[in-house]
Amino acid sequence: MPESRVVVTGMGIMAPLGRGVSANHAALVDNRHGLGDITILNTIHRGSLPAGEIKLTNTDLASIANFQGENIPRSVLLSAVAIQEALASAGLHHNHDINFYYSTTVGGMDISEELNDKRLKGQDIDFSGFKYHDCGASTMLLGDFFGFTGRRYSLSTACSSSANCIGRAMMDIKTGRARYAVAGGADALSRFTLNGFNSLMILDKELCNPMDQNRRGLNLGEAAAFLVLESEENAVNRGAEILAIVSGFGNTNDSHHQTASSESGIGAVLAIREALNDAGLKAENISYINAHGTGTQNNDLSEGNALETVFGKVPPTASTKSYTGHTLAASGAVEAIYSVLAIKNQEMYPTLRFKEAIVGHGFKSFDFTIQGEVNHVLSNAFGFGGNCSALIFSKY
Amino acid sequence: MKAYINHINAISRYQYLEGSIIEQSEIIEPDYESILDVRAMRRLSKILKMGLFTALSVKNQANRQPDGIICGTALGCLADTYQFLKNMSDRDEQLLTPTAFIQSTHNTLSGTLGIMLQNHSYNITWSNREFSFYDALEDAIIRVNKCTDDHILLTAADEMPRQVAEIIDSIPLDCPVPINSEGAASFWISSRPAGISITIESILTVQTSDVIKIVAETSEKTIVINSNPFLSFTQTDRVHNLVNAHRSLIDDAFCLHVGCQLLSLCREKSNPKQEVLCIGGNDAFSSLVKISC
Amino acid sequence: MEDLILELKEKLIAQLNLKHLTPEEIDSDQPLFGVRIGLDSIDALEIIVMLDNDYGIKLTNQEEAREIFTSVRTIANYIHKHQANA
Repeated sequence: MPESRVVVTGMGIMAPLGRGVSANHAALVDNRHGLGDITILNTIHRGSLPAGEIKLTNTDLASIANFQGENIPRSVLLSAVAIQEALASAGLHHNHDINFYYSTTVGGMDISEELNDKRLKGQDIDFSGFKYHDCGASTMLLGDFFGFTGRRYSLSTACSSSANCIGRAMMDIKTGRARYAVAGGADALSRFTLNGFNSLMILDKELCNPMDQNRRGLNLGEAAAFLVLESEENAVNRGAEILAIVSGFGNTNDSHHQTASSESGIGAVLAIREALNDAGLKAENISYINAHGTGTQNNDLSEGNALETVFGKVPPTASTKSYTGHTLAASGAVEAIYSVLAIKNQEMYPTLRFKEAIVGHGFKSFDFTIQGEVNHVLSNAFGFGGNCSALIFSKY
Repeated sequence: MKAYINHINAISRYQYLEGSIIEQSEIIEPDYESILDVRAMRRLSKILKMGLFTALSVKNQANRQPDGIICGTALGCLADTYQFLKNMSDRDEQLLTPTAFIQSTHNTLSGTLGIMLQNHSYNITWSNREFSFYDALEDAIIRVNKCTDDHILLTAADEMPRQVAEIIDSIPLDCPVPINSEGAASFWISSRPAGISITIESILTVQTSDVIKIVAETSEKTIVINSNPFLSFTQTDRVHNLVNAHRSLIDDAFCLHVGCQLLSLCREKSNPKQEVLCIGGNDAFSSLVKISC
Repeated sequence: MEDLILELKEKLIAQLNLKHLTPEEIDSDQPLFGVRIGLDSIDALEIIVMLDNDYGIKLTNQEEAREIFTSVRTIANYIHKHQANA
C-alpha cells in the first residue's frame, strides 16, 4: 500500500503574539513583536530581562479554557486553549479517534518551583501541588480533558520537542497507525528556565537580534501550539480544508556538546538533508527558511554554516524568535504554524530588528515581510543535548 | 511488527536467579569506572551514570554503532533539577551556576550518549509516566521494521534522590506502592536475531480492566510477570508480581529485562519454547509485551 | 600568593567536581582547558560565578575570562590585581 501524503487541517496557538492563529498572523504581517517586561512571573529579573510573556494569568487561562482543577500547570492551560482552537478549526471533536502527541520541557515547573521555594523557607505547603510536575502528567490532564480516545504520547527533547511530535505524528498518519493526530507542545515561563539560561550567560538584556553580527543572546518566551494532521485522502473525503502538506522530517544528533552546537552545524546539516530526502525535494526547491535562530552567538553562527553547507545559495531565511522569543518545547510547533501561514498567504516573515549579516556567512536575513512565491518551507528546531530536527511544509 | 532483543543490561532491583525472580531492597551500583571515563564522570548524576553504564554495556556487546538512540524516562534528571531549584531558593536567583540546569532536561541521557558515541543518528527521549519505556520500545520496533538494517540502542532510566523521594511521599497520591525506586535498563533492538535473540512477539496497550481476563486466557507455556502495581495476581509457578514494596515508573523495563534473563536461561537448558508476558501500566491502561525464545 | 594558589586549587576541585585530582596533582602553570585537566565552557561559567561569589570580582566577557583562566596562576594573578583595586 503506498504511503499517504500527510496534511495539516487544523492549527491552534497561544503565543506572545496573541491568542489564536489570526491574531498571530496579523502580528507577523505587521511586524509587531510580543516581547517586553515580565509582569506576571514572580522573579527578581523583572525589568532587566525581556521575555515573550503571555499577558494572561493562570486564572484567566483556566476561565478561557473552562479548565477546572487545582494546581494545573500554566503550560497545560495554554495548551487547552490552543488545542480547542486546533480541533475547532479542523472540525473535529473527541468522538473522532485522535492520537495525541504532546511535549514539554518543564511541565508543571511553574507551580513546583513556587511550592518548593516556600517549603525550603520553612512555610507550610500543600504537597498536592507537586503532583503535576512531570511531563506525563500534562499529557494525562490534556488527554482526559479532551477525551482523546487514541494513543497518547509525550516526549521531551528540549527545544526540538514539538517538532519531534509533529514528525512522529506525520509518520504514524503516513503508515496508517493513526487516523487523526493532534501534535505539538507547550512551555510556560518559569524562574527555572529564566535563571537557567541566565546562568549560561546567553540571555539578551535587550530585545534579541537573531542572525545578526551584533546579536547578544536570546529572549525567552512561552507558548502552546498544535497542528491537526491526517491523510490527504481522509481530509478530502470529509471535505476538510487542507492548509499544507507535511512533506518531510529529519531527526539527528549534533554530537558535540550538551548546550552548544558544533561550528560546522553537522547535526543541522544532516537533519535538513534527511528532511529534504524524506520530502523528495532538492535544496533549491525550498522557498523560505524559518530558522531556529535563537539569537545566541553559538546557534546562529552554527546554523548559518549548516545552511550554507546544505544550500550553497541560501534562500530567504529569517527567525520569528525575533517576534516571540524562544518558546522552548513549543517552538517547533509555533514555527510550524508560522511556516504554514507563510504558505497559505504566500509571504515570508522577517527577522525583526535585523541589520547586519554574520561575518563569514555569505547570506543575510531580512527585516520586513516579503510577499512572494512560497511553495516549500523548511523549519528548524535544535535543542540541548544536540537534538536537531527539521520539518518541511509544502503548498497543497 | 517483529523485532529482536539481542543484548541487555540493567541496574535493577530485580534479577532472575536460579529459577526465581529476586527483589532486592536497593539497586546494586556497578563499578562505573569499568566503562565510563573518570574525567567524564565528574559531573554525572546518578541517572546519567546508570543510563550511560547500561547503554554503553549493551553497545559494547553489540560491537557496532546504533542507528538510533531512544530513551525513556518518567521523571527525568531529578537530582540536577532539585539542585538547581535549591540553588535558586538559597541564592534568591542570584549568582547561579549552570551545571545543574544544563543536565536537568529529560533528554540529557540520550544527548550524552549521542555525544559519547559521536553518533549522529535518530535521537529521542520519551517521557510519559508508566508508558515512558513502552513508548520508547514501540518507537524502536517501528524504526527497525521501517529500516530493517537498523539497530536501536534503547534505554530506560529514572533516579530518585532522597530529598525528592521525601517530597513525593508527602504528595497525596492514590498509589498502592510508593514511587521511590530507581535504576536503568538497556536493550539492543534489531530486525534480525543475534546475541540472546529474544523475539518480541507483540506489544499492545489495553484497558487495565481487561488484563485479568487476558492473563486467565494465556497458555501454560506463558510465564506472566506483572509490574503494574494496580494489578495483583495470585503468585503461582508461572505468574509473578514483580513489584511489591517499592516502585519506579519504569518498572516495565526491569520486567522486560528479567523476562529476557529468564528466557535466556530457558534456551541454555534447552527448555521447550517458552513465552513471557510482561505487564506494565497504571490503573487506566496496561502495556502488554510478549517475548519468546 | 602561594596561599591563594592552593586555595584556588581546592576550590576548583570542589566546585568542578574534580574528585580524581588532589591540589598537588594540579600544576600551577598547567593549561586548565588542555587535555590533562580538560575543563570546558561550562566550567568557565562555574569559575566566573566562583570569582564573583568568593572574591567579589565580576567578569562579564566570556572571551576575556578564558584568557584569565589559562592556569591557576593566571587566575591568582588576576584576583590579586583586582582585589587590590577593589
